[in-house]
Amino acid sequence: MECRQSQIVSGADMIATGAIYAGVRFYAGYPITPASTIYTAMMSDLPKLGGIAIGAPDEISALCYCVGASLRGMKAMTATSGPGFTLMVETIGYALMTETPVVIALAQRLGPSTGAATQSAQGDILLAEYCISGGYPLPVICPTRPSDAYEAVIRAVNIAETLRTPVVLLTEKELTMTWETVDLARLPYLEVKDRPMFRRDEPYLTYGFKQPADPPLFAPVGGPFKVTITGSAHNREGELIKDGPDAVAMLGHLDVKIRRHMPEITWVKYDPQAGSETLVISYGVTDRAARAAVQTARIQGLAVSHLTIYSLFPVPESILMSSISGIKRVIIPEENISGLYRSVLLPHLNAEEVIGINKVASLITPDEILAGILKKPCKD
Amino acid sequence: MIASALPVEGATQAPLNKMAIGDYLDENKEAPYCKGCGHIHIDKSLARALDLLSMDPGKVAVVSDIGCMGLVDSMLKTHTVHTTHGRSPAFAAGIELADALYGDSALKTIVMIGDGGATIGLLHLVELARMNPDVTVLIHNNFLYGMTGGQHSGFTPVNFITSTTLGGNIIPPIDICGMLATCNAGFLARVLATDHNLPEVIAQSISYPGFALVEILELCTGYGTRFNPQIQNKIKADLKQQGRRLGILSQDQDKKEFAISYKEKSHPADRADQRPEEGIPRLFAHQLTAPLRLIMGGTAGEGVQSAAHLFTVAAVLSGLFTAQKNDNPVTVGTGFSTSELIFSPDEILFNGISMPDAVLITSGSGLKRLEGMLVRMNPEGLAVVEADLTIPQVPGRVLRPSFRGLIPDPKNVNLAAVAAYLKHHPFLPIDALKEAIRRRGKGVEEALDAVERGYQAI
Repeated sequence: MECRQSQIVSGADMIATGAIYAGVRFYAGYPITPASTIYTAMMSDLPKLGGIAIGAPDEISALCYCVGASLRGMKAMTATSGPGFTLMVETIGYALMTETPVVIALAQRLGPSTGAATQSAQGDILLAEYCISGGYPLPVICPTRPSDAYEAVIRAVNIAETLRTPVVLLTEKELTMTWETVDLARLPYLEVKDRPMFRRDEPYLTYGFKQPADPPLFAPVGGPFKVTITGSAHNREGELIKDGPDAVAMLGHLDVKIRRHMPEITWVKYDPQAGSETLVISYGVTDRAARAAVQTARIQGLAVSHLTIYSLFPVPESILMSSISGIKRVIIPEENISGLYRSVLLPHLNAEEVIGINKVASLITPDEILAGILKKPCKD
Repeated sequence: MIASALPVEGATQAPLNKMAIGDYLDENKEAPYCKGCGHIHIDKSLARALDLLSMDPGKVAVVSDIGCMGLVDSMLKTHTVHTTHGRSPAFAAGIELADALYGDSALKTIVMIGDGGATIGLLHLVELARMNPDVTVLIHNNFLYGMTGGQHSGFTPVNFITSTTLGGNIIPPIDICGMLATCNAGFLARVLATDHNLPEVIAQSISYPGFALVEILELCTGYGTRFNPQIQNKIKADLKQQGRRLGILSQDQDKKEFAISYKEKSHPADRADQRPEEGIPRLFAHQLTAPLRLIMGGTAGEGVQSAAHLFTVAAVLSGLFTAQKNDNPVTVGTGFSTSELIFSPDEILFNGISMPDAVLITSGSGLKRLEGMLVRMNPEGLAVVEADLTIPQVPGRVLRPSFRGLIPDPKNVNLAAVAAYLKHHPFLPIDALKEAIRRRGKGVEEALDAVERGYQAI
């Protein structure tokens, strides 16, 4: 394979590069391993482009700064790890309720609590998705390697902007702090999308969606139209109301706005093989070992299908439904104790066996996944 | 003092008095406060202040906090952002920075926060005082949390009775103005909500081009005066006893607004881009047909990770794919330093190392960290270990050169180890490593010398 523009870059570099390409011009950060390298990359690169990158006194402030800047009209992003993400949860809920675009990169480390800062893990996946009080969907995008981290962050920014929602870019130490050869000339081309702006000559309603699934048109704070932003339950005008049909309509809107835009959010790589009865489903860093294991299994003459899920949430149900057809065994490797994503996928997997390969505090190896693939199916 | 005599950012050119309170505050709307509450005085005084300054309501953003005072947004005709508890100053800072540095810098951002919000969000106030963004903060200090039933806050005076200090508060209150003075806040004032000059003081705080804070003292009629019937006459006496003055406490005209300092410092013209635009060319050939997994370790500060990086550059110059993972103890400047490297003729899938094909160790702390890897290395592989060190039984071949006596600068010891390894396993040419060093462009001579000595060492 001939490379034309090889560089040695970290996943953090690719996240910063992709974010800048996607139009992010505001970054606020607080140091935390293994997300600090995203922070330092943005502090170095954004000011050169006339953007703003600042340090905050804590993760709460970092995300509040981002949301404030986004309300003024900038594309904004921050990055953190598990301990900082838990501090940001309040503001993620606020961004969701106020329909403010923002991207939060969550570089996982081994938890709970301080855990191990430089130990890879996939233990924050449910924390990322289910952190919204009230239970509203939050898009979660998860790259597997530096080259697709670039694509992932562009997609995350595009989703945040077009649907006016916070988006979590879920990654981990193995991606942000590993330096790898990437051919920059082979990075995919992606269209950059902006938030839908209000420009019409008619009264402006801050949350004036036309159809429940439509994101409302955006007008910046300080722009020509008066905006009324609130994190409290509200109507289309942004007035506080706690019950009644307008409040219920708004809450329903927050739900369907995400769920009815699955085609824009869904991102998977489906690698089927004819006649296979085994399907490996993987995401994040573990996907790399899974891909190696599937490759080896095929060389050994086994038919194995492979599904990589990048858009972890909302769960790509229709893809799962089509890829499960004819499959008897599903293998889901994850770097967490109990199989967190497996527990979410289980209701969608109509197979005889759903097997988790789980491990913490070290990488799951291709051999461990291969052993799962080669294991004889259980017969009752 | 007439506030409009000061330079006002965001003020329109409209003549004074063209605007009216009604342009900012919808007076037809019923105030959402208890009878006798001071909040409405503050709201009207804010509107009066904006009127005094002839500000365009479309160029004002009021960022309100949680609490009764936060209900002000229902009456305002400016932009409003109703936020979470205590976080209003931080959201306001984001709005203001975006406006000042990326927008037209015409927006005035004003925070309305209670003593409860100032308690939970104290760090944001400290940070804004230090940063000095163009944000005005009005603290509605009524000494307790009114909306939730009259509980005590960080601003509750000693002996004050609240629903959670039934015998009287025993913890002295935060002196927010005193505290923020120590953080170099540019503009600080303390006034009573009933003071006649409240609109003028607020106008001055808004005119101030930087962080300005006004602590406005008032009483909660729902709980404060009910629990403390004598308090009305005691506020001023209590303040005096605490040594807390009323009025404008400080007004530093020389402070530089954050956005101005940021613009000056953040665009250094001579700053070179650390990451080159063009790719690393393929100048050499490699001999690998399968991935090679190598791990190297030594002492922090002796260039393990930078030698490893140069090794990967040499590999890319030879047409290989690479992966590098570094590790240190919690503090990076002490103990061991290691790098895991993978070289592959094809794109690397799994990038972990369970059985290394090569181990390079240059010091005792490196050995201590990597001993486990050394004993389970590939029997077909090759290790390079500093001669001074005592090592266990190793499955593969081991070279034992003495770099310590050979290389003048310990920073280049690990580069010498790489050269020694390449001599005995030349999967890429030593010239590729030398080219990587030349491309780095600093300490070239010493590094090339170390490579030469390492290459000849064994």
